[in-house]
Amino acid sequence: MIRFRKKQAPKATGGKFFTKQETKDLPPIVELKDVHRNYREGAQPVKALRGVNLDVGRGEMIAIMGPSGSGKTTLLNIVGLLDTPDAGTVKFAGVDLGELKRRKVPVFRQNEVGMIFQQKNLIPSLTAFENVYLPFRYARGKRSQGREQAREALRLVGMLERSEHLPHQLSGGEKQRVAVARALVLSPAVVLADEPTGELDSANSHHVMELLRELNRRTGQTFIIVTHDRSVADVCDRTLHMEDGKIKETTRKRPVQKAPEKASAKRPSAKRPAAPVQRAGKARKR
Amino acid sequence: MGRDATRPQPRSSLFFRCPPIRYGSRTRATRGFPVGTIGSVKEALRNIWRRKTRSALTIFGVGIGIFAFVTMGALSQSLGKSVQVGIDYFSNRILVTQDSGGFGGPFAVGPQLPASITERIEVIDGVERAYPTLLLLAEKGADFSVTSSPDTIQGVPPAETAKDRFKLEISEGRALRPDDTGKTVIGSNVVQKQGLGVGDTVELRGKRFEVVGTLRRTSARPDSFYVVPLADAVELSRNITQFTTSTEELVTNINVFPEEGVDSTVLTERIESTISGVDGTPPEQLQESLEEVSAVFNLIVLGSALLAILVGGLSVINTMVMSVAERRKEIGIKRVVGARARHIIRETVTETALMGLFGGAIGSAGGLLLTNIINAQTRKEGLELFLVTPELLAAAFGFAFSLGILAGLYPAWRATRVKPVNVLRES
Repeated sequence: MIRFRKKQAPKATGGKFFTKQETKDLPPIVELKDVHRNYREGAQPVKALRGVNLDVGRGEMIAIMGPSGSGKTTLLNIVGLLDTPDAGTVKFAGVDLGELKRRKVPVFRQNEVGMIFQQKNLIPSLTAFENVYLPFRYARGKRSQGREQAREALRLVGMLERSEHLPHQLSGGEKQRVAVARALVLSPAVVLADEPTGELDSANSHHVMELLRELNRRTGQTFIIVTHDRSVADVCDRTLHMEDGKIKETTRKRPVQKAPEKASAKRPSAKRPAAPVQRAGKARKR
Repeated sequence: MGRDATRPQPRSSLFFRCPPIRYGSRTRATRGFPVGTIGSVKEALRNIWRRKTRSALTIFGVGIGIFAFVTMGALSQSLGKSVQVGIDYFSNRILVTQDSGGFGGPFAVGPQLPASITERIEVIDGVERAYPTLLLLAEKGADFSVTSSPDTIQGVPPAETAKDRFKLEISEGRALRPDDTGKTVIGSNVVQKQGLGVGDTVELRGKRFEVVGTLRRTSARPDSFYVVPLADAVELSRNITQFTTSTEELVTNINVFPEEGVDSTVLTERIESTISGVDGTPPEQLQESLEEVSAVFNLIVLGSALLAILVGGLSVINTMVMSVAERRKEIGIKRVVGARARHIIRETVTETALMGLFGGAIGSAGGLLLTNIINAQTRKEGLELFLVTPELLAAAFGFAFSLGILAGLYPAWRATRVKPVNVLRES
């Protein structure tokens, strides 16, 4: 069971920090088994998910596509602990979410999941910096550390110079970059994005997806992206096609990125920065 | 362990904290001291500013309530102080007046009672001492009204008043002496109204008096007094009352002080039964009637102020309920990034509390302004209608703040009911 202490490795991983190579043997970060979810829209019952099975590996970047009403967002909400399934099991890093105490859900979500939405997902009365800092405001962490993290996240998405601007002073692409920074600021294991490029023009859409891909490569975080846009799906490792609450088809664009050989790690491609085999903070210090 | 120079170095220190295998190495939300109060205040201020017209109207609504509270409270305080001076003054004396079928007690003015009765009262068992007082209107035709207290000549025997437990404080100059004649000590309203000071002379009912002292403000009737020696007052009374055939020295009332341990009510009855034609008012009765008047007045005044504040509070609730309905998406996003119910409550209540405070500031400032303007006018008439004390202002602010908090609780509760998944589905 994961305990909520600073920099404590989860029991699911045996209380250790691992390299990407070593994580191949670890269980998937997200496991869904025969997940059902029904709800009502007015008087109309809707079967949003009908027995979804899904394993998402660590460091994987997957896209979920499908027509409207196929259950994409419901699936994302369940993985993001915003919704609970009516039947089936959902495991997150080996933790059965059904067994998680209700009061621990927000803390778990805050620590493990980052979310990016399609539109109007910034708080209009907060500056870009304050929006990114927001999770720390609710996290009861150390303020100075939170500020530093927020600045770093903004720098990471290239928005540090615009950090004191209010959302209405930012362009659509800039807003979405700030939203990405906010989703990443607590360094969650999984980042969920619901139509992250839905309201962006093609240039901005391309920039945001490049950014997400880059973050996935560099940080090893898992990305699950719901999209209607094929070009977005093309950037991902795997694409799930949903229809009528079921995953109909899985298309693997590229294999899960393997850890580079030692020699190649020393000579990274100029085009594409290699994902170096690094150990996590504590491990590296040793 | 040194780093490989050929390896591309991370561009951001976040990369150091976010190595390829993130799991278990990330910064976690930890339990500790709460943060974000300043952030909540800043956000609340921006939210208030975002909806300027609506916020301004709400703040104005609270302001009107607090304005009513301050002005009515100031009126009540002024009356309260006046009543308190009366209660202190009459705390240990029985007031004996003529039983004329008219008003007696503390409201009597004019020559009514032979001064010689004083000697008859002094010999009654249980009486420590007694002295007469003569009250005369300083000007012909002066009258009592809500906004004015008439200038009054009070004739007293200085040798006796010097022994009183409750003494009117001297602001400047000195009190009357037993051998004084043609001298007066004047109240603060008279000083202001007539522009008199120590050393000046004033003509009262055809006789000139030298001002030897001024009284400290009491916010009560003595502020409009010309205190003169009893003999001088009697002389003025004789000049005024042309149709009186009596050669006796007439006074308005006789102040009777009971001996230590004597029940003043019993003594009053004894005086009334011993001397026919007099009406005695014991201190308890005076105190009771003064407090009763004060209580009824306070109830009306503060009741209406509370009503105004209630209306202001409802406008805050209305505004915030609307605001919460509009900000469902924002609240949903906050819940997604980790806000718990208490955070949402804190933020909503901070906003309403700030609106309450702003309303309090506006209402207090308005109340202060109006009471000062009216006081400046009524002071000319010899009356200070309003008394604004720091305690009243602090109470107004405290009330406004509490009102803001209370009015914010219901909208805050509604805000906590917002389910992120529903909001996201709606949007």
